[in-house]
Amino acid sequence: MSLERGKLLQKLHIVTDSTADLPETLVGEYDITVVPLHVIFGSGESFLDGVEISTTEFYMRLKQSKELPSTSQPTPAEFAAMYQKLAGPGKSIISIHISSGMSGTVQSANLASRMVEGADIEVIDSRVVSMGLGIIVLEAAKCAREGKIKQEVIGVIRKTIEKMEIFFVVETLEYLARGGRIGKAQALLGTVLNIRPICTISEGIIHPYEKVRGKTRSIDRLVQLVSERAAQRPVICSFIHSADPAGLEELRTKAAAKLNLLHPPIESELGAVVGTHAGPGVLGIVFLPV
Amino acid sequence: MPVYTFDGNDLKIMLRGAADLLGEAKGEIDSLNVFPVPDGDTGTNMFNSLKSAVREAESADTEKIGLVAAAAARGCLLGARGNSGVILAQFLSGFAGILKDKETAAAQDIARAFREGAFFARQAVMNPVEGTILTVFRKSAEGAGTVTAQSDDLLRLLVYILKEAFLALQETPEQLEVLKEAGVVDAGGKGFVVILEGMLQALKKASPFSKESLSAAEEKGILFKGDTQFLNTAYNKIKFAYCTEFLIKGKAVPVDKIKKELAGLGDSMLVVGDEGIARVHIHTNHPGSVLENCLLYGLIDDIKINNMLKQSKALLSIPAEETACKPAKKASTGGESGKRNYAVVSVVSGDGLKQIMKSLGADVIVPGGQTLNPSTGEILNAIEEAPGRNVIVLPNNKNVILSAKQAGEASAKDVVVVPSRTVAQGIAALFQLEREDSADQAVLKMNSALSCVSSGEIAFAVREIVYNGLKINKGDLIGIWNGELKSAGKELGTVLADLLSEGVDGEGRLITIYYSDSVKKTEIENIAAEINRQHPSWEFELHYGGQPVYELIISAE
Repeated sequence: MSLERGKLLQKLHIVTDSTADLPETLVGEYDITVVPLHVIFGSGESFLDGVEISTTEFYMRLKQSKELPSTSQPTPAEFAAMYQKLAGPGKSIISIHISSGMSGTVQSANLASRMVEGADIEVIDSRVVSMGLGIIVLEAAKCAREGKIKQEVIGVIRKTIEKMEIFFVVETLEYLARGGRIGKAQALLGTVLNIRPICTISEGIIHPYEKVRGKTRSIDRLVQLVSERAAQRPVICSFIHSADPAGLEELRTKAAAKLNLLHPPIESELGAVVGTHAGPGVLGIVFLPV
Repeated sequence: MPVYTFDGNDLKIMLRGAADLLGEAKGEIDSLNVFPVPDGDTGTNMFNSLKSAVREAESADTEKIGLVAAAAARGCLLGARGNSGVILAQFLSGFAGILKDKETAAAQDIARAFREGAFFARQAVMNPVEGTILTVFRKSAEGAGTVTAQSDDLLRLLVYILKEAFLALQETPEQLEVLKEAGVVDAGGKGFVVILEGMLQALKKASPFSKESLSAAEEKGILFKGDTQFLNTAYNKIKFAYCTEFLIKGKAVPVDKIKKELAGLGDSMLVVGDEGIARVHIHTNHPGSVLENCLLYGLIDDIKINNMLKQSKALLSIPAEETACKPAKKASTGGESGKRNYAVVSVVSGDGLKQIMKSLGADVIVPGGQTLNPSTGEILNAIEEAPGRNVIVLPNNKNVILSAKQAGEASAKDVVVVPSRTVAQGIAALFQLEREDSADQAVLKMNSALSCVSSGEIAFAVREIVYNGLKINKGDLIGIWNGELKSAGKELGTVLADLLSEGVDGEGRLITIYYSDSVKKTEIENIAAEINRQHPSWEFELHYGGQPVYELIISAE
């Protein structure tokens, strides 16, 4: 009941995009508005991320199709249409998005915010992606539901962005390399041995952090990294993966044994857009010490 | 007929005789390895090292024993392969040191030279062990001292030295448990006995010792039977490799005296100038000796030393491996040297392993490894070929570490040897490379990576043996972990499973297996899958290595 009332009274809307990889249940529960990006397969077929194509469908197609899909940001018009719907007298919007270092989505949102007359819209560059963005959005949505005013919520968001850390291991750097954002790790391409690079996101872009051999050892190292960073403090955290439920389970077990988890971590599979750039076999931990 | 002095020609004859006999015996010496795998290749290594010594001694156009000995020592050092080769080279260095400046040597000199050689060789080894070639050196040198007290006959001296060496060799199993257990004498010691025997035989054959008999032997082509590439055309055309030019600045530079002194060191010699300054030009195989000699008369300046062999090689585009001065070289340049602050030279055999090492950032690969230890000269060539001043060398075999260090010392570049004892360690070290690291940082990381990996090998036993309580037949597969024999049998799968359960402890290990040409991919995949069922926490990675000798090379980390 109180939730229903909160919804009705809520004056602050939280908007994000589909690269937050937020599970649908949470999107519904916290009344978050998700603007989808586009996934385009070689054949020219275009899908709205998470709306017209599910993660399961996507990874199946990814396996089958020879050509790698491409992605594109939402158009300003798409954002504007959404803002138009949510805007109104006394209402505010905070629109939080994928790092501007990885996508032009923030730009589209910015343009759109100026297209909707009289609307109070704050566009925020999260500097991260996937559940990193997801956790920021959730924190914001919780504040909004509690009735906090826009400036307060923006403060929370900024703090969360600051503390947010992400480590993930990719099965192959090929997918990331096609996006051209990991120049430093180019040398790892073409290595004969099965090298699993652990990557991190800092200053809005992906950096290779270190090299590990072997899947088991890479998962051990992920957990160890988070445990070192957390230094005994409890952490809010989320596990991400792409098409690797077995790896997710190993990660879950190992993390539970080593980390002081504040809540049961949200588990999320990378959606079609993030999956296009990271490929299958990704495992990662998004966390912030509290 | 007693012989009271040896000159340079006598030494040449003896060295050739030694190399000839060692060539015949090298297979037998190889089989004396303590492990029932071809774990060292002592005979082959000593032979190749000595061959290089003979070649260099030959090219010394002099009858002075001091110069011939120095050339032999230098040649041996350049061609030194394996530990036994490096130790032999050290022996020759000590030996030559005593004979330096001598035209001929008497029994006393030779006895002293043996003692000095034994001492030098011992110094080169970090932890000298009795029951090895070092003991044989020492005892024969001690024997030499005793006999010269009684007689000045050189033939008698050599016979006595040989006898002492032989006795010392027979005692080696009593001094070294592993030898006793394997029922063999020390391979390096045996090599030295063969060398002494070859020297004596050659002396007997060549008597009376004269230049005539030497050249006659050369014409008949009996000196290097079955080894024709050995003296190759490019080398023969240029007798002296280094065009050496410099100035001597001093108060009274004795031009004529210098001319006389340098005459034996080369040809195309010119020494011009007055008392205050002189210019020297000479084609020589020993620019160092030339410079050293002239240092006596003043300051040396404006030094130019060109390798004419290399120049002519470039002109004629003769492949590098065919020139004598730069011994066999098949080093290949890696793809991505980039803008790194250092280059890496790595020693490995096998197409798969080469490719893996290159992909991890090795710039130059020197072919070699188990049973094919590369020479110091080959490693030196690779160091020179590697881009930049800072070079890191990965020997990847315990028998290559010493040669790699010698090569590093011989190079003018800044060379660091990261002492990887196995291929697995080498790969683990390469894995640490980061493009932006300084050479020092890289060395630090690589060194610490060495201890993080343990590794093993599976090979066929080359002879029957009882070891660690295991009865092994010739042709059985044996598994070795960190140098210890751990398993044996007929089935690859069983031997591997036993080896891993003996050698690998703990959960979550990454086991990497590099298989040879004779192992089928599907075979090893099935074996690994089976072992994985027993140890679900282990992760297996299989790669084609293509290495010789070992059916499998295995690493666990």
